[in-house]
Amino acid sequence: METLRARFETLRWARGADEPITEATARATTPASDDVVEISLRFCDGGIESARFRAHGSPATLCAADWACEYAETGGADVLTLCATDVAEALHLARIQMPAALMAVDALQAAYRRWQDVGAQEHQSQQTVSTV
Amino acid sequence: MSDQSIYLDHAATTPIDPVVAEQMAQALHLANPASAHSAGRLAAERVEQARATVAGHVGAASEQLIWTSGATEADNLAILGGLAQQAPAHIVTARTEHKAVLDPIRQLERGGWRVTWLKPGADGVVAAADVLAPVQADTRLVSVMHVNNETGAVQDIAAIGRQLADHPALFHVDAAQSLAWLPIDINAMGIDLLALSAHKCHGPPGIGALVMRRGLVRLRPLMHGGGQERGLRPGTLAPHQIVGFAAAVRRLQVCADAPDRVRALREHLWAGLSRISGVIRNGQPQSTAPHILNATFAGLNGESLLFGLPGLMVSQGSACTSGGQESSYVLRALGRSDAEARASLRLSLGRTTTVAEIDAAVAQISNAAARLTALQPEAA
Repeated sequence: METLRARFETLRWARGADEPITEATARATTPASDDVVEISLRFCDGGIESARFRAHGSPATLCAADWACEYAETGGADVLTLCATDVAEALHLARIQMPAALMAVDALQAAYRRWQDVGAQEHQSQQTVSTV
Repeated sequence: MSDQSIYLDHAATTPIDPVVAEQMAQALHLANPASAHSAGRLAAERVEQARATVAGHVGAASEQLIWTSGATEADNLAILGGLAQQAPAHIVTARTEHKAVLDPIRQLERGGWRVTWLKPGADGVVAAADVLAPVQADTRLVSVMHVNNETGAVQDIAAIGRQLADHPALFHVDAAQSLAWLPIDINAMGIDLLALSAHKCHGPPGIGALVMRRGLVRLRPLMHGGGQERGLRPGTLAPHQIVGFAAAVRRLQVCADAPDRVRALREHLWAGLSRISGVIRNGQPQSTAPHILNATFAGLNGESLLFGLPGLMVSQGSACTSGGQESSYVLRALGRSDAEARASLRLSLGRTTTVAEIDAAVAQISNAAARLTALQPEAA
C-alpha cells in the first residue's frame, strides 16, 4: 500500500530547475485553497514521452501531481479516461483531499488536450483550469 | 520520540524527567489518601507535601491549591465554577486564549454573558491598558493567559492584576506554558485563579492544579460525588501523579538556569531560520517566553513543510487543536492571513535541547523549504 509519505519523499516526476517547459503545459487550481498543479508533457510518436509537474500546496496535492505524471508517462493508458477517484484510491486519499486528485487529473488532461488542439509543433502553450 | 528524531514540541508536552519518573514509580504503591488507616494517612501526607511544594512555587499556601486533571480542568473550574452563582454579566478575555478558556467562555456567552474579545498587537501581546479599558462595573471575570501556547507571547499579568485589585471581577490566568519558564507569584501578580499543568514542565500528564487567592470562596464544583479537595473537585486523588507534579516543580528549582540557556538556544535557532527566504517571526524576542519560536514561511505550505521534516518533531500550532483543518486562530488574530497561518511552524525547546539539535533542525528546515520552493510553478 503506497502512502503519501513514501511518495512525498521522492516526488520523482517533479520538473527540475533546468528542465524547460515542454510541448504542452496546463495548470489547475482549486477554490478550496491556494494549491496549484502544473503539468508539462512532451510527446514522441504520438504518445507521451515524458510528464513532469510543479505544484504548490499540501502533500496530497504534490503527491497527486506526481502520481498523475507517473501514470501518464509509464501507464501507457489513455490519460483522458483517468478519474480523480483513480488517483485518490492509489494514494489512499481522504475525502477532504479529493481536490488534490481533481487538480492533478484536470492539469494532466488539460495539457493533453492542449497538445491535441494545437498540434505537436507548438511549444510552451499554457492554459489554466479551475477545479471545483 | 525515537532516538534519531529531534524533539522541538515542548509546548505540546515535555518528556518526563527521569528523576520525576523514579519518584512516581515509588509512589505507585500509595493507598487512597482519603482512607483513615495508616497507609491512607501516609498517602495523604505525601499529597500534602506535594501540595505545599507546588503551591509554594507560585507564592501560595497549601490550602489555596486544588488538584485537577490538568490545566484544562483547572480553567473550566475557574471560569464555570467561578461564575456559577452569578447572573449573566460581562467577561473580558483575549481571542488568543487557549481553547480551554475560549470554549467555556463561549458556553457562558451562549447563556447570555456578554464577552469582550480582545485583539492582541502584532507581537501577540495584549497591552494591560487594553485589558482594563473594557472592564465595566458588571465585569465578573477577566481571563488572560500568562504565556501563549503558540507564539510564546508573555502578557504583563502583574500590571493587569495591580489595576484590577480594586475591582470585584475575578482575575483568571492560565499559566500552563509559563510555569517552567517564568516566575509566578499569585499574590504579587494579583491573580485570583491560576491554572497549572504538570506535563508542560517535565512532569506527568493527567495532573494539574487550580490555585486560588486566599479567602476566595465563590467557586462551585463542576463535578459531584465526594468531599475531596474541600468538595471543589471530588474524586479519588492520584498520589503518584501528584508526587510527580511536585517532583517536577522541585526539578525546576534545580534547573534554574534553563530559561536563560534555552532563550539563547532559541535565538540561535532564529538566527539560522532567518536566512530562509520569506521567513517571518511571529512575536518579538523580548516579549516571548524562552522556549517558543513561531515562524511563518511565507509562500510555502505548512503541511508540506512539516511532511518534509520527518526527523523533526514540531507542530503547526496548538496540539490541542491540531486535529482540525482550521488554520491557527492565534496567528490570524495577530494579523496573519489564513495562508500565512497555514505556512507557520511552532518550534518549542526544552531544557534538554542541545546546540547540535538546533543546528540539525535549521539544516532540515532549510532543505525542506528549498525543496518546496523549487517545486513551485513559476508565476502565472
